[in-house]
Amino acid sequence: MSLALDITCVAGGQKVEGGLTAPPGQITAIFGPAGSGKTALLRAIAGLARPSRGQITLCGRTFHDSGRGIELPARKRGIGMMFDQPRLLPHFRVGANLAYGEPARDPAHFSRVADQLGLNDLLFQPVAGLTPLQARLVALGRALNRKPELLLLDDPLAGLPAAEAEVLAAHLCALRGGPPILLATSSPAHLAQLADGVAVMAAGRIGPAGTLAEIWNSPALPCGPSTLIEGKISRKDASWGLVHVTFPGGALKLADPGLPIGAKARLRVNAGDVALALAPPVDCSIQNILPARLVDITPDGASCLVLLALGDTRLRARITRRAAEALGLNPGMTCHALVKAVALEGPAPCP
Amino acid sequence: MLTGAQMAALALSFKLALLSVLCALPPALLVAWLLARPGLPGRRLLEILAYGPLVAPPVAVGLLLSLPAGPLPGPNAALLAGAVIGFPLLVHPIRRALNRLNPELLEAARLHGAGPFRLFLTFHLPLLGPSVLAGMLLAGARALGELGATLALVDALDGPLPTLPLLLWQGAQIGDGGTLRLALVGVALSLAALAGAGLLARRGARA
Repeated sequence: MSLALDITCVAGGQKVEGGLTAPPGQITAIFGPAGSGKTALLRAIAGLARPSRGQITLCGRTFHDSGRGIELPARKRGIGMMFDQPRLLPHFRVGANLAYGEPARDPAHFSRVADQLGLNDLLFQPVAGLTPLQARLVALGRALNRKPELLLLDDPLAGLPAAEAEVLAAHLCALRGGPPILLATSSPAHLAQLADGVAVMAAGRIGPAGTLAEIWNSPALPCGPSTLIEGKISRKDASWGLVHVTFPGGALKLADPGLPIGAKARLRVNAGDVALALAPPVDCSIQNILPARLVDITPDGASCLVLLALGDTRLRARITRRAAEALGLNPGMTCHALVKAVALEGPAPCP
Repeated sequence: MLTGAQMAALALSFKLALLSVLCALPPALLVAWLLARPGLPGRRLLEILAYGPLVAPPVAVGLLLSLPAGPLPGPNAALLAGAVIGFPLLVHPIRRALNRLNPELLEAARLHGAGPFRLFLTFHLPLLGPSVLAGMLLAGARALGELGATLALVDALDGPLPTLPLLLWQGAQIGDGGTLRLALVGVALSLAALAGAGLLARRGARA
């Protein structure tokens, strides 16, 4: 059921090379800076640019095979796509744009999509008056109305104000569990918010791939010094308004985000928000104090980046070089990590 | 009011203008499409040829046409002359509309399942339709008044058909007072066509 590809493609002066798989049920991100070839890759998958070498298959269906001379036309690939712009047809109203993917085939599906995206009140409006968020939701609805077997999202949150991006992100997160979703983004924040798997792209080459936490926490992707931890909400502390998020190697307490017990929680801990102590501190306001083993210490200007192991989970801390010297920190030592702030990164609850 | 002969001439001219525009439409669509392709070899030459009848003396155009076509019977001469003289006015709005078509929208429509037929119905027709109509109105109005090229094309034995411009010309020759009314009707019709084409073109540009 996965999307699998291994291609070389030159599109619009941009060369793209490499392999990738995107399993169903989750969001696979292609992460790279602007101009790294993300859009060119999506266009090749969509059938809008023809690869010069390689294969693209989706659950056994061949989209492209240079060896056998197969190139399935774009419209027969069963793909829904959000382009970098909404690209709605200006002479149609919202409803007709939504239905464009699969006109009048399945009215029940159409109303479900319009309901889910909150577009019911806009169906008879011209697209010219839509807000940027509404236009993107209509573009998403058009893609979903196709009952796509693959969803391509080209930087869907880029350029939206934070509050509106949050709404769209929640809608996108709610699409997990269906066909494979491929998301192109250059923003670490959007990556942390949406992605399950990541393939890193640079200068037209598809590079290392893995789960979000693997890639985020690997040196291949210095997303600013921070750590991404995937855990589960294990306990609620209603009297204090806190939840406990358990992960392999420990647990962290944070303000209750309104998610139920058992829900997955993705936490981001900035390295600057982690302090170190050799003995567990007493009479301290910091509530998240975790025993850890020091794995590595790297000087970086006036500060040091310290890599800690909490069981199977790695955590990064940034302390001053002076502090590291004063504490006599060395790899292999045991210490205590004092985590001052934890951010919940989604998957955001759907509105 | 207009006389019976004048009404008949008006009706005949309408019919001829409509027919000549319909005959000119397929080649005009092709030429507009060719002119809208950047980098097509010989595009400048094609442009000069297609737009030539706009500025060339109509009698000269008729004479040139008579070289391959030979003297034609009345209806054929009027149709050919009307089609050629109105051609540039038909091509121009269609070409502009083709240039305005957004290839990104076309891509989005294709990707979301539209085949050639649905693309035509949902993309080309609504986006080009108003401009095609505007061109037809302008070319029709131009063909309605066409006389010079027709006279140069028509078989002398057959003679031109009694169309609106012929009646105007003949009336002017003998100083008939009723001709002025016919002239005013002719001018009013062209102005109405111009206004209508303007409205359609604006609609096309908005879409």
